[in-house]
Amino acid sequence: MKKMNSIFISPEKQGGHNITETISLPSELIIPVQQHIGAPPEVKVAVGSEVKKGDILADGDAPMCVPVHAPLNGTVKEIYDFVLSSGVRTRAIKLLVTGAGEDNFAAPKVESKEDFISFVRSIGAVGLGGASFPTHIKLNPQKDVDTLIINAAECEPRITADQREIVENSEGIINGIRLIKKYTGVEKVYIALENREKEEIELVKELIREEEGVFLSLLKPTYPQGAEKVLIYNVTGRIVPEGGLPMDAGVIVMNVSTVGLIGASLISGAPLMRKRITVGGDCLKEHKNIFVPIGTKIKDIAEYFGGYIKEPAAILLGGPMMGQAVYSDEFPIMKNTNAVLFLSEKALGKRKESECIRCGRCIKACPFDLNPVFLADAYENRDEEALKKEHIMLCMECGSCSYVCPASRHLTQSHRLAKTFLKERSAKKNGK
Amino acid sequence: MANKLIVESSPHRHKGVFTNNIMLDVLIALLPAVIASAVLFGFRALVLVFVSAAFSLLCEYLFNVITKTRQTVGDLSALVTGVLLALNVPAGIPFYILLIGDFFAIIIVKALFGGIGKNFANPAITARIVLMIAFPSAMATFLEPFYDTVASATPLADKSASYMDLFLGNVSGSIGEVSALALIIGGIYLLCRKVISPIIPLSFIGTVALISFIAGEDPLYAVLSGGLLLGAIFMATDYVTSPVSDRGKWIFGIGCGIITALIRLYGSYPEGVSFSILLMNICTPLIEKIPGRKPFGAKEAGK
Ligand code: SF4
Ligand code: SF4
Repeated sequence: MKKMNSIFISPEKQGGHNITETISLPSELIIPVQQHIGAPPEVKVAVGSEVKKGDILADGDAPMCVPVHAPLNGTVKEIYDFVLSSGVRTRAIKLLVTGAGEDNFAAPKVESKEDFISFVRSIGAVGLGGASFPTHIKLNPQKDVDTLIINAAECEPRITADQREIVENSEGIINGIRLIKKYTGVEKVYIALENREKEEIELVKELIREEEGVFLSLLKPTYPQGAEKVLIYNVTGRIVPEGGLPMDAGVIVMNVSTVGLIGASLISGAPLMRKRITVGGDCLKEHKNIFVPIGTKIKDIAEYFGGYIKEPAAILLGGPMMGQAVYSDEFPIMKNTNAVLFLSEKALGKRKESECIRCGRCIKACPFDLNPVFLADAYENRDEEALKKEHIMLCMECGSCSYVCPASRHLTQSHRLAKTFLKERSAKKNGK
Repeated sequence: MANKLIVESSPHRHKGVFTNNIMLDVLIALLPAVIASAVLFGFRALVLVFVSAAFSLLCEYLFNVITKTRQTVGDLSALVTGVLLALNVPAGIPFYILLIGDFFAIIIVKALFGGIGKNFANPAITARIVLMIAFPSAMATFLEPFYDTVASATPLADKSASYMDLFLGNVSGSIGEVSALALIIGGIYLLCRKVISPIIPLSFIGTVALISFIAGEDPLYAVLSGGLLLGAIFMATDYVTSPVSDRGKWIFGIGCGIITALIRLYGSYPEGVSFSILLMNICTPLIEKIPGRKPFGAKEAGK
């Protein structure tokens, strides 16, 4: 089997192995209503409404729509237009928090596949690893799937939230696995872990000892091991075709925290209202995991950590390789946020772009055997044909090529722009 | 929050190895050869290396200042070119000839083509060839190591040296090419630091050995004598002028090997390493057209 290229990033996972703490009650939440890929939901509350923890704030009838719930008790103060860090425009609800609220939810009745899918939708589940794809769609694939891969191989340096999920919610995870196996008919379940996470490996081994068809898949701690297509290839040897989804390779891939959420909610009935996130970076004193209500502002998190010890030059939602930089610390935590990093200029370690020295490092780093330097040049010339011929659309924007480039060329950024460029071109063509 | 946050596209981290770090590694790898040249040919060899390196740097600095382009001396590539060219000349060469070579390498071959990354031919190799053509006698007057006497011919031409002499460098030749030991140490360093891939040196050297063997010559002698090791390890592996893909590197290395062996066997020059590398430099854009590995999951092009 052809080996996929990968790179090694020093983990820097000092800290982040604490029992997850819960942040002190924030006074205000900002809750964007579109927190999934798909149809936008409608706001179901009005300015002035009193909401209780778990109430639906927004929902819609479209199949690709997922509800958003109130994480705490509060009063709706404002409903306004909001731009997500991905550039998507949506509405956001500003909630004045009036109390932590009570956890008295009724456990759902799940007896059939239909029940299961609607239960998954009702708790607001989306891919928690970052993709935020609606989980109820993923669990109802339109093609035959035989394998479920549970992604616990967090490959971004510094992020340990998924590891804590395994330690703290193992019951929920195994519950979730049983449910998904039962209602989707997958025969094999692989829990994919990096081989250096000794504690988690022992735990998972113990957890699945009695389970039939559930296996542990140990992977090298390389980057980007946790990327969907890389994971599928390294666990099953299957290749997702260009433009296809995992189900085209007969696979469902789910983040371990999403599985844990489903398993835990089946017992408690509680929808998705809080997130475990890894908080760190050299601008804070500590590096640890905390639970925050969805909608918590980044500012409140920094405050909980005792403020900045250095002025951050950048704040990232997610890891250093694929995370998104935000404009301000007023930005809220969303369902798919798994980390917040506060980085100083030095930690960013950026340099100006210089001339490509044709060293080939970017090519050797690309998991999909693309030619990043060629693609970047092709984009510079707006060469549509060359971009297509060299399969730009396969690029998953993992950042490996930019990471290794000694000339600091912004290769990944160029690929991202090139993909948008191609999409716009073809949209224009189809429009005429 | 007082400051404005930096909002850049991911990734937000870098490996921390930049062009100047790579060039520094090449300089470190050349150190054994520089030391060997000083031991074998005396203090003058050392002066040649330093003068050549400094003048190359100066040429690049002044060019950038005069043309008002971004100052690139910091990437250290000019130093590498200067040192390499000095290692490619005989110990007794007049200084002005070496300086002409440096000027040619930095200004004509590199800077006028757009600077680092844009030149199609290796600056040091091209400058060496130009000097060989322009100053044939100065470039072919080799000294005997440890003595200031002029050697009759290099071992490549008269085939008189023992393996041990060739290995340690106790033979006549350009100051940096004679000690196989020093060059191999440098090569191993570059491999360990992953600065170069082993493909070009191995295919280059292997091809020369094989053809020499078939032609009835002593393959080990062919490998150790002349400028083969210096060329194969340090000059044919120049990123800018050799192919980026593994497949391309094989073709490049084997091509260099064939041309070198043919010139040595049948040509009028005793040495073919420089010409072979220059010729393959010129072929590199063509070699690059050969498709590399097929991307994972890629559908056929154009569909
Ligand atoms: S960002 Fe794209 S081109 Fe660069 S390494 Fe990742 S997949 Fe390859
Ligand atoms: S890694 Fe950077 S310098 Fe090297 S070939 Fe790729 S783009 Fe050029």
